[in-house]
Amino acid sequence: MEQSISLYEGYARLKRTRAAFMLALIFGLILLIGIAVTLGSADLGVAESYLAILAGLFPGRFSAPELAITIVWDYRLHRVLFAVCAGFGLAVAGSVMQGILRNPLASPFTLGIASAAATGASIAIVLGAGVVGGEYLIIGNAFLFALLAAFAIYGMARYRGVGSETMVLAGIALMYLFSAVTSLLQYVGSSEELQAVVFWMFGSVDKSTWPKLGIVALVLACTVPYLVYRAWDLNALAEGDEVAAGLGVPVERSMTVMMLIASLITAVIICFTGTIGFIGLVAPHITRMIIGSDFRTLLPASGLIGALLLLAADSIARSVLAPQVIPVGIVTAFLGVPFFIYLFLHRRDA
Amino acid sequence: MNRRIILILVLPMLLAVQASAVEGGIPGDTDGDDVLTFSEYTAAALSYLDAAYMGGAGEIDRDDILDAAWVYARWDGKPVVVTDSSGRDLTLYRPLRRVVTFSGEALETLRSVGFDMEKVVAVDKYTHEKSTFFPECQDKPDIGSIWSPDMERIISLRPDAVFLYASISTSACDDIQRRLEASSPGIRVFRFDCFKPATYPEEIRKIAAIIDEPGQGEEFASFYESTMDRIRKGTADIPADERVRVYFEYWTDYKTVAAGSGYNEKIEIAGGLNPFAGESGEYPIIDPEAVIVMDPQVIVKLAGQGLAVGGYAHHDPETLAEIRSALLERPGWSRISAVKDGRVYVIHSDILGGAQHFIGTAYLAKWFYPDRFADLDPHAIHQRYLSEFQGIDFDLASMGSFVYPE
Repeated sequence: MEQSISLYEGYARLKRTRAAFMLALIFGLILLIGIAVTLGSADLGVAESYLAILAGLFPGRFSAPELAITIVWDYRLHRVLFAVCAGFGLAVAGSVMQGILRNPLASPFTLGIASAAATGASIAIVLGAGVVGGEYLIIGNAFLFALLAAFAIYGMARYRGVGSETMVLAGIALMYLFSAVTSLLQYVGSSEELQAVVFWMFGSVDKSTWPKLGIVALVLACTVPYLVYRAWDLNALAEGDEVAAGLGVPVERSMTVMMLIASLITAVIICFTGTIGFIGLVAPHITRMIIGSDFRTLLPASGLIGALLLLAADSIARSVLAPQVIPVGIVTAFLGVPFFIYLFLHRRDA
Repeated sequence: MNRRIILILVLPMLLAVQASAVEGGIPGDTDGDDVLTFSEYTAAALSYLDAAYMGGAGEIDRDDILDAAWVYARWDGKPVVVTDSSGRDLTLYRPLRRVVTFSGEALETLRSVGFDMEKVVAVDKYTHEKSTFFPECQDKPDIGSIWSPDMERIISLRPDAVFLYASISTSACDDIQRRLEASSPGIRVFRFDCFKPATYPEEIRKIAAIIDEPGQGEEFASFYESTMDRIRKGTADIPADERVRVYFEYWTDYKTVAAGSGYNEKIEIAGGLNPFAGESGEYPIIDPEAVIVMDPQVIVKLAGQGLAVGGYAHHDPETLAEIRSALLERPGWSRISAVKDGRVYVIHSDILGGAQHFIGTAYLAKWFYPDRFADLDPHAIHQRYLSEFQGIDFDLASMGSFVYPE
């Protein structure tokens, strides 16, 4: 009896921790967005930046210098929100992949999806780009190859019997194959093309625009609620296929649907940004270390962590050498890895 | 009868020739003092005739005697010493016969100073790809690039001279030089850049000296210098605070140039002020906001490799026009002075990057200061360069696209 009370209390405490953690994350993200929109080479004051935002939203009621409105609305705001969405999406996709495959190393990187996208982009850069409008070719090709990799993994796993190990192995094999193709393209490409490929693989949110933000936001809005809704399936799957099946989860169908959704999210994001792979691997781990592995909270919370990480990284990338911009993929690793190692070393249950 | 006497007289010399047939020295220089005297020359000639027509055992072959004649007649019997741009002294004991170039710029300069292109036996892959600019190189073997040289093919072509870059990609070039010198003793490896305004005139004269065309070299160097000096003099008296603010954009969007890059140097020679010159790296990516804030008076966008339009390969002014209108439509750019005043230009790297940078720099100068350079005609300079110095049949009116608007 006493034990069940303490269990109940423990669970209540855990719920409170989670709620507090989520609130803190949301608050932190809003704060960071607030700071990020005031950062930039154009020397706008904090008040001026906010006036510009308000003036854009309510043109009649607020007024700001036209230059400030242009800079905030045409250059900053979509970039900041794009970083938030991209970080969120990559982290959610990473959590789902780690959950389904029950493999802590699963991420768009290790599953070959990122390298497939890089191959697609390289093909466009080396064999087709340079033409006007080449950007769309690169985006389209990266997207196509990312999905191709997802279906290839799925197909192989399907043929061999869907199992988490099979998928991971298939993914790693694909990763090597696609990396080899990319290396070959770099080898035959000119130094200029080589540079473009390398830069694409650094990952950056430089190329963000309102329409691109719209596409990513739309995909997230359609998919994330469904994933959170099916979070119980992920919890059950985490206990093993047999347990999940025993609990009435259609294991195979759940796995494939969720894998494809996670792949779609990843593909939509990295075709615009290049390979920012680290977020998808680390954000779920950071979150799990803090609030445990219940996917109902893990999914949104790791999304928020991912958003925070990427936005912080991009803000640093824009400010450190301003007006120069460092590719965000580089900063993400500098920022995320020490944090990850810190948590890893100080985790109580380690 | 006479012939027999001559042969007897010459015999000791022949033996000496055989003994001194060392790789390197002047052919026929039997005493090895690096001077081909009259008697050595005549002995070599006789030895050649003996070997060629009398079945003699002399080692002087046709190429040797032709080279000996060249050295005797044109170099006064002495070797020529040339210092290349890596600072190394190279001694030429005979003229260049079989040349391999890894550098399109050096090849172009060789053509400028009147080198017989038949003597170029192989070229790098980028030169090979430039079918409109180097039409005569299409059938020559392709020996790869400095990054992946086809060493077997180079060595099997038995070149006697190879041209490499001096100050870029030095480790790759050093490596090729080491391997060539190890496998082919006596090979002459020249290191020249041929794209830097500071060293190009000197390099032109040195390359002309190597191929023994000082007159043509001087003529081309003066042509080059007259253009560059005109630009330098025309901008020298402009105080720093009155210089035109220029935003120069590389092929990639928002990638600009900073101090240390060749493009920045040309902007400065043309009198432009690049506010991003102080950024780190040669080609920094900058925050788009910064361009609006800087409010450039002139905007120059580079077309070329990364934006494969125009240049010698394509005649497509409309594509250059599209690139320009895409720039004008960037959000917020309508407030930039350069856009308001219509001073947004597209230029192709073919005339700003390599050996032809003086043509592109002339365009820059004219765009930056139209009044000061009213009499400067970059288009005419370009056409004269192609017709007179490059000797190629390329009519700028109907071929290629290099700048927009013209």
